[in-house]
Formats: sequence, C-alpha cells, structure tokens
Amino acid sequence: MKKILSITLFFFLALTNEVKAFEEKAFISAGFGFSYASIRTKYIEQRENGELEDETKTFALGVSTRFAYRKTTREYGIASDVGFGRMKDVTVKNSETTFVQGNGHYRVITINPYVKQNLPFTIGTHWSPYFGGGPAWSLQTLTISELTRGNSTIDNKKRISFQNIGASLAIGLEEVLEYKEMHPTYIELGYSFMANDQVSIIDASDANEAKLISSRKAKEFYGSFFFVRVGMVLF
Amino acid sequence: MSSFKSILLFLLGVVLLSSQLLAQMPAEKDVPETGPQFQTSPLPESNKRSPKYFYTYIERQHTFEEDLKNQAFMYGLAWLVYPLSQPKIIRNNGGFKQYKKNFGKIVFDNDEPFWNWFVHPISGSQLYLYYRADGYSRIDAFQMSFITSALFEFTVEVLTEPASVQDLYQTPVLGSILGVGIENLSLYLLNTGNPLSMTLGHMINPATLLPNFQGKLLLVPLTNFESSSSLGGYLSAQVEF
Repeated sequence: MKKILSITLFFFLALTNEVKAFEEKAFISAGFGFSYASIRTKYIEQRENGELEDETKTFALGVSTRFAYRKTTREYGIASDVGFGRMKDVTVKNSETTFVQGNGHYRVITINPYVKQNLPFTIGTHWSPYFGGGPAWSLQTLTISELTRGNSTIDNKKRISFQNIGASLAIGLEEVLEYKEMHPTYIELGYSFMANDQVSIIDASDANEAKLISSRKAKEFYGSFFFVRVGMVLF
Repeated sequence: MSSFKSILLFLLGVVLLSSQLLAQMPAEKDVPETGPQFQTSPLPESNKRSPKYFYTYIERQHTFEEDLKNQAFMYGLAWLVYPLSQPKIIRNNGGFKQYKKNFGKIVFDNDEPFWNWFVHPISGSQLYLYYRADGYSRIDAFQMSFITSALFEFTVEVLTEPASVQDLYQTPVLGSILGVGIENLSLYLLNTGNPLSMTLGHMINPATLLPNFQGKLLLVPLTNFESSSSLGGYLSAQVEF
C-alpha cells in the first residue's frame, strides 16, 4: 500500500508545476461546443423497431462563448452555447388529444452563470485542471420539417420551443499563462440536467415577427445534456 | 456514435498539440542565425503605395464623466433610431401600454436566428467599434457595449417586446467577438492605401470616420539631412487632431 502511495505521490509531484495564470482580469473567450442530449418526456415518444419509447437523442454542434472575471484561481462568469442539430421521429403533443410525429431541425441556446475553481497544481508544463458549475437556462426550438404522423397544423413554418431550467457541472483543463493576450486555451466536459418550464408553439411564417400561437407551463419534459467546450481566451 | 467519439478525440488532440507546439515555439529573437533561413522577397519600397495616413487603435484611460457622456449619447441615439426602424410594429403592438406591460420583464425570445445571431451581433459589433474608436481597450469597449445594450433592452426595446436573455448576452458578447474581426480586417484594408480597399474598410467600420476616432495618424517622413541613404527610410507618426 505504501509503495502504491509513494508511486502515486511521485507521479503527482512529477506532473505538478507551479505556473501563475493571469489574475484579476475580465475576459471573453470563444470556441466550439458540442452537446449530446437525451430527452425524456411523458408525451414524446419515438418509434424504433416497432417499439414505443419515451426518449429521443440528439447531437448538436455550435458556438460556445463566455464572459468571465478571473480573481486568482477562481473565476466567475456567464457561459453560453448555441447549437444546431437534428431530431428524428420526435413526437410532440399538440393539444390534449393529438400528437404530431416527424423529423426535424433542432437548435438550442443555453445561458449558464458559473463559478469555476482551478486545482492547486498543473499537469505538464501549464495545464491546470478545474471544476465548476452553476444554474442553467436553455431554450430548445424544434422545427418539424417532415411530418410522419398527426394533423398538419404543425408545419415547417411552426416552431415548438421548450424553455428549460436546470444546473450544470463541468470539469476541464486550461492553460495557465501569465497574460490573457497569450490566448490560453481550454477544453471542458460537462453535464447539465434540464427540466422543462414552458412549451410554446410559434408561428414563424413572418420572419420579422414571431407570433406566439400557444404557450403553457409544462413539467413533463426533462433531459440530460453532455457537452464538450473547446475554446480560447480572445481578449 | 463512433463518429462522435472520433470528432471529440480529434479535437482534443488538435487543441493539446497546437497549444504545446505554440508554447514551445521559440520567440523571434531566439531563432538561431545559423541553419536554413527562409528567404522572402518583399516588394521594393518604390513599388508600394505610400498612404498618407496610418490607421490603428490608440487606447487611453477614460474618466467616469466621459463614460457617462458616451453612454448618454448612445442611449439618445437608440431612442431616435429604434422607433424609426420599427414603425409598423410600434404602430400595431407598441405604445405606452405595451411599454408598461413589458417593463421589468425578462424572457427567452422566440425570434428567428436571423435576428438573434445576425442582426444583434452586427449591431453589437458596431457599438463595440464605436467605443474602440474613442480609445477604449477591447475589454472596456465590451463592458461599455454591455451597459448600452442592457439599457436599450430594458428601457427602449420594451416599446415592442420584453427584454430578452439572448439579446442581453449575445449583442455585446458575440458583437465584440465579431467586432475584433471587423477591427482587424478594416485596419488591414485602410492601411493598404488603395482607395477601393479604404472605402470598404470605412464601410465595415464606419466608426473610423467619426471625429472621436483617435487612431488616424498622419505619416511624416523625417530625415536629419546628414545621411542621405536614410532619406525616406524613417517614418514617424504624429496624431492629427
């Protein structure tokens, strides 16, 4: 046991390197974001191999940005992700009795205020591990482009939007560099849990003005989102 | 799923490798003089245009009073421009009743991507460039844009719709990121000395035409009249007010 501890300590110290990152600065960073969502609802069902499911999965790709203030090893900020993807065989309850099923485009925007803490060591020359988290709000908008079941009141000019509230946790690695002008990079893996707050149907036939057709409070929808953010400090 | 994993692994590899390579890259002064040297063939000085002005950004500290004046100017402009740009919507859905109803509310809007991811970032970038032209640093210009944009969302745009979470974040943040790109491109175009490029440079960054733009430098050739070989080789810049 002692041997294992000694070897672990040796590797830990070998990897440890004290490098000072820039401090007490506000900054903006940007990069790419990828999210994999598993959405479960009481009324969204997916037909696959003839079996009914209550879960649909989607993959979205987009842009990730954050505005933050770094104190010393702690950072306070707001992160946002915008993603685009596709949903297959998604079924949405249109009213109390009717369902609409089809394939569609999906887009999501997430706003996530967060606190992030760097661990007191670096890996290699200048990679610092960190963890963080905070509340999150998101808006998922679905456009059913190919209707496979249900009435035709939902067409590709209508948008179904889900407003969600939840929380997210993330771990990551970032470069610790003395000046933000050196554009430190980061990679982050995270998990969000989102519960639906409101479902709305929007008429988007007039691009200048989106009209709200119906909106209601809903608690039937919840989802798990795994995300990866890769980016760098811009200024 | 396998393609998803491949993409993640590829990106992870690219980020780790690129940052390591960049960190290990020696600074210009550290490049050894021996060994293979790359030869470049610059244009002879006589073949280059000689622009009269050099465009850059000169940053300076601003007083609180200057910040307030700038905010007041942009806020006044917003009250002037917004009602003129949305006459139909204001006539049909706007007005004092709507203002009272929307005031203090904050929602996720359902606007089309064209508005949220194109129009708002473009307007945010011009706001950022206005502050940059007045000598604010990049992060200060962003912070000033953030305040202007928040004031607009909470007190002007409520004429037609409640303040939107997306607009509050995306207008200054995406706007500033886009603004940095426009800033660099416009400086490149303006410094070519080519009239067409200069026109384009001013078009994408109109703040460079404003009287408060502090980065327009008049180029003055200097010589000590002792070493004729250096004539035309020394350029000095002086700020033209």
